[in-house]
Amino acid sequence: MNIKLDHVIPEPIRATLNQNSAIWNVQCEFESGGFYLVDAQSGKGKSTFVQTVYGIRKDYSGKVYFDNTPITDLDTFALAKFRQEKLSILFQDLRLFLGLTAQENIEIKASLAKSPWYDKIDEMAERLQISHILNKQAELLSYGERQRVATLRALCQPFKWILLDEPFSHLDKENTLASFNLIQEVAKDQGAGIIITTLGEDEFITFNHHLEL
Amino acid sequence: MKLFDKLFGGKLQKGKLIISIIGFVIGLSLVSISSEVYLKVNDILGSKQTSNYLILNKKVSLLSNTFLNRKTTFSEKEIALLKSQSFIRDVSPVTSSGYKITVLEVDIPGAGNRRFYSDFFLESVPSNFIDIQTPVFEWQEGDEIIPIIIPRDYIHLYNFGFAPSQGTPQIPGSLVKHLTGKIRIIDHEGNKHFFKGKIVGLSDRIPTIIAPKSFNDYANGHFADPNEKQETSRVLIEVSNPSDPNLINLLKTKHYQTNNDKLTSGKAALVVSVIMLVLLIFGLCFIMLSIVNIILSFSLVISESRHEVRLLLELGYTTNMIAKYMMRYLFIISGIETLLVLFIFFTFNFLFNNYLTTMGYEIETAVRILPIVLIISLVGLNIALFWRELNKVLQK
Repeated sequence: MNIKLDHVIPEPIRATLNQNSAIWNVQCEFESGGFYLVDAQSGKGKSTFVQTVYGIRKDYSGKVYFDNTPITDLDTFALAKFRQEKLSILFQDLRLFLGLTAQENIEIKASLAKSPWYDKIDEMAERLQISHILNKQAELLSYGERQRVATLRALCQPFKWILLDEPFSHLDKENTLASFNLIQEVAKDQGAGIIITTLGEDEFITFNHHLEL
Repeated sequence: MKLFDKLFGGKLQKGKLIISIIGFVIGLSLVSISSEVYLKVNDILGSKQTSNYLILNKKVSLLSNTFLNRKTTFSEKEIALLKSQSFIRDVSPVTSSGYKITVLEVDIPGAGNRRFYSDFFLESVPSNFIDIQTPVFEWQEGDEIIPIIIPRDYIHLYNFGFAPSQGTPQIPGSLVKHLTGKIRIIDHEGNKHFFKGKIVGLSDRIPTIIAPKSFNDYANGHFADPNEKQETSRVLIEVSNPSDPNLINLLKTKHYQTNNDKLTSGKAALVVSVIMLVLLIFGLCFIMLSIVNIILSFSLVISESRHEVRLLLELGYTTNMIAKYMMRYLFIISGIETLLVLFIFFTFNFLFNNYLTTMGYEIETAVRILPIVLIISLVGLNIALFWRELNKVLQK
């Protein structure tokens, strides 16, 4: 599944739009299975970009396509189906259910559609070093811990694309690498593409496709 | 769904739900019971078409008859006036007999021939007013047997009043039709003519003793004094509604009397209908309030959980999945409500049937279809409205 943006301009950043952007107001295509790094400073619309592709934001001009279908043509049920089976996301603000435990936060997503990685949740938690906090309420976790829980939640569903909005912002180098490697491994295994947004500070994160907003 | 319980369950106000359930059960019980009572009471008091036939006569009083010399018979003009009323469907004068008639001997089954002597009279009404359809109720010149129909009340009078005091056997309803008697008619010249009388039916509608009109016309022509004109003292009318105020008003202003009980039973049926209708409306109000309350309770949960609902939708849940989860609550609630209502309804029905039977009414004890249909459709309505409103709130 290719993702295509056709001259998309988000309303909130229309005035401050970067004329040299590789994404905004141009024809831009993300090829199936590709690993893309999108990097920009704050306020350039990284979250806006991720949420536009994910179908949450609709305040833009231009068109976003999944293959040849404009996502504005998808009704809520079709969009929900995409989110269950083809599109995974990690929000910048994480969006966990704070009243549920880490385990339950993962479960509520994983129960929607069966992924081959469902059985390896414990192993993945081990690699992200969050096994010991799975039964803790999300509200009691540190931001770094929550970030890795949200990453795990995004990995335990079937997907063709995974959108990660600043997924390492609160992780140390060791944890960033562990997280980064796991994401690549799962995506490769599923034949899926990755889109990661960063502030451009983690030099050791490199992909063949590098876009600037 | 355990996770949904954790997200939403705690926000549901159990007290409000219990109040809703109680309201719904009370409302639905009122609706089902009042419709059942309405149907049964109408069966008993409405008594089929019987009450739509009334016999009119004029008031007999000392003053009017003796001093004012007012007649108690109906003139043709008065009959025409009755016919012209829109609420009276049909009018027929009752033909009276202008000859003397006596029953001399009655053959009572099981008691043999008994000497029995009584003067009486025979009247006639058109056959479409008679509630007994029998081919036997016909008479032609030359026939010896006169078929006779008497009011059902007369058998009660005989069985419980006359028979015990005279030591004659009581006659069960089924044997009445085998009663025959010797009848003597004395014409205006004093000649005796003999016939046989046979009871062919008991009427709930006609409060008098009747013979076929053909016989009465023949007998009036042959035995009555031709100089004495037969006058109409009673008139049969068919009305669409015996409790029609216009009818009651007309009877009052014209000083006509009628077999009153039928009017009062019509009135009683009307009063019961009105009371049942009021109860039904009350019940429906309870039900509507309860439905609104349940929908509001769940809407409140949703708006308190706006954040959770939004996140669930972002993760790939649909509004339908969330609504379905809440529907499970409603199915449990509806199940409890239905069981309670059915229990109350059948218990009431059992007690009410017992009461009516002890009061001497013969009723169909089976439950009517209407209350059951009402229960099913109102529970269904609750579920349908809940589903629709919930989806609306979730999609906002």
